[in-house]
Amino acid sequence: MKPSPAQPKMGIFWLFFLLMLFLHQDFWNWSTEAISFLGMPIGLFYHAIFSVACSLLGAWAVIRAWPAKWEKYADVKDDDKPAANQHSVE
Amino acid sequence: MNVLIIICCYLALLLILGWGSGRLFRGTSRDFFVASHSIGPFLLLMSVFGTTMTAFALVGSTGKSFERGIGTYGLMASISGLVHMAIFFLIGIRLWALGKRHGYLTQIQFFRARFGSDGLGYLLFPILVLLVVPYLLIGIIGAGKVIEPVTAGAFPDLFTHPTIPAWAGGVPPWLTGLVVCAVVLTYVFLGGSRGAAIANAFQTLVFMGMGIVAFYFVVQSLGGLEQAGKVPMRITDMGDVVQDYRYDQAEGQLVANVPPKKIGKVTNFTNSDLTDKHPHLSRDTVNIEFKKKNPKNGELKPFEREIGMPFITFVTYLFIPLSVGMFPHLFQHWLTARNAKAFKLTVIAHPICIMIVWVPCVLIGSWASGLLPPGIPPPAVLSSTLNLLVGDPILTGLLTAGVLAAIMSSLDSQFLCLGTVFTNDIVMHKAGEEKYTDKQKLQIARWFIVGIVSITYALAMLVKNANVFDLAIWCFSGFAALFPLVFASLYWKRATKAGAFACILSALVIWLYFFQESGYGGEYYVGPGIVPAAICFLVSATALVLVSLFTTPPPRDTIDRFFPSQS
Repeated sequence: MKPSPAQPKMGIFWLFFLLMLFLHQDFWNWSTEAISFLGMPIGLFYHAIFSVACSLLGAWAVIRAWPAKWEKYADVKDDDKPAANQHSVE
Repeated sequence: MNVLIIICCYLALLLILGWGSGRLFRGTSRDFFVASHSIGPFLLLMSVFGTTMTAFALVGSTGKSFERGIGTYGLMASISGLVHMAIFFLIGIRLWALGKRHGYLTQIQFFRARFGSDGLGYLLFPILVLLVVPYLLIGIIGAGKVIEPVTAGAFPDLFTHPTIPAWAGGVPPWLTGLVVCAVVLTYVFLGGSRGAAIANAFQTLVFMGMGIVAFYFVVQSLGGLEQAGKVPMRITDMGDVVQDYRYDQAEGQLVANVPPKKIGKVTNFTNSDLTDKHPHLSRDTVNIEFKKKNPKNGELKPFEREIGMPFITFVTYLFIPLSVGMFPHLFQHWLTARNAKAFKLTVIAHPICIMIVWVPCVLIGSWASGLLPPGIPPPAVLSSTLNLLVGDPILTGLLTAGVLAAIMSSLDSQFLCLGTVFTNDIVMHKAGEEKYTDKQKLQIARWFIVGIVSITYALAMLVKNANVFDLAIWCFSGFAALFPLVFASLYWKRATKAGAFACILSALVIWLYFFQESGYGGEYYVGPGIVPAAICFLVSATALVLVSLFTTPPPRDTIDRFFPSQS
């Protein structure tokens, strides 16, 4: 199987993921109870926006880093397809 | 009584839906277990989301926010949006592809093949059952806690021993649990995996819709979003904790308490910065002493609660959502997908769906701290708030049906999964595929489900006052401790059979140790506030890596099968 063009993009996905992990720890909002948009305290509003950002990262991943090779892999019909319940050797 | 009629109508509707989806059932065990890999993007999103959102999401999040404030959202919801999305993308699609190509129906079949070990399956099976059972418990307990307050007074002569005196005449938790189990069992039996997916989609739409409706009416009752933000309990300059408002049900509006009603006191109050703070609206920790009435003798008993959350707890909670990667019922849902593209919508929309459900619940829980007695059981906060603020029985009935929908949309997948795992990984694996007909396989799965549900129901009655949120966290912690196993099996060629055993055994031992230390299911932190899941994860991951490095690598054909692009 040839390496998929999506492979390098997986590295970018991991980078975004780690950046999001950092942004999740919003210590800068910890003590404030100011009410922001829609009557939400800032600490909650920030995390609601964070949820939207997670969706955007998901959208980027399925558009730019889609693992097409696994789709192809699933579609191959093996002649020697093993039974799932086949006893394996200890 | 109207509330009860609406709930009964909803349950009847589900049974009709179950009967309808039963007509689509193809009669084969593969159709029963994984819907013949026929589920499209929308049904997959709804069933995966409905499965991950249970009593924990609605009842538990509102109760936790009532106890700890708005930090509950970041603690569980927003981090779950990130971690779940990544797991669906990085793990779900690979497992689906491997499952489809090699015919795996369960997680255990996959692990047995990946690590070339029968014994691994026999070790994993009781552990997965042990961890799914608390998940089932929270559904049954949560349902009981929701129904009793909203039906209070419906049968004053029949149900005379309520959980608290104010709920006299309400449908008791034992009856709610029984009915919920019976309804879910019926539609799972009729339609199998497809029936569960269709019912899940319907129920997910119901609980998301009803959540929005509930939020709208709660906000209206509180006089709008801005006014609602002033309702949570407040700390005075003397360190007293007060409720500035009460809800007048006769007038249907929020009324100021003059003077504010004292409900507690900050312990060791020395910090003037706390004056006029609403501790539920930020994440700084404040310890407050409250009093609650003993329902039996009316005596006031003091108790202390920490509001807000330590930063270290917040950070280490990120290990909890990793549990999704090891949920056996989610593995089964992934396998129902028609193709890999069906995952796209789930990857994108799952975090937004979490937000739609959790933000209103967390806000309602925080606001309720300024209206309800502090000693109320956390799982009863949502229904008590709806009862107080919405009042209208028809609306309350619809909203309660929404909560039941969230609970049942998880129970069905878990019931089905346990039957699938037992039939395929224990019975069929031992006896061989040919020994039983397809019809017999279905019978075995169904009888095992009945057995497990009976045991779980009995357990739920024994621990009916357990905190739904804390119990769920223990269940998630166990699955999170096993996460290194699934991740290494897909991303690390060098992971070996011995490494897998070491990972599972170390996860089990350390989880059992912490679980016992917590008093079997209570809130528990290690040291300055580290969640046990973080330590369990690190221990099991270390065991897997070290033991794998010191044992013989997997054979070439295993690598070729599970790492196709690198072969």
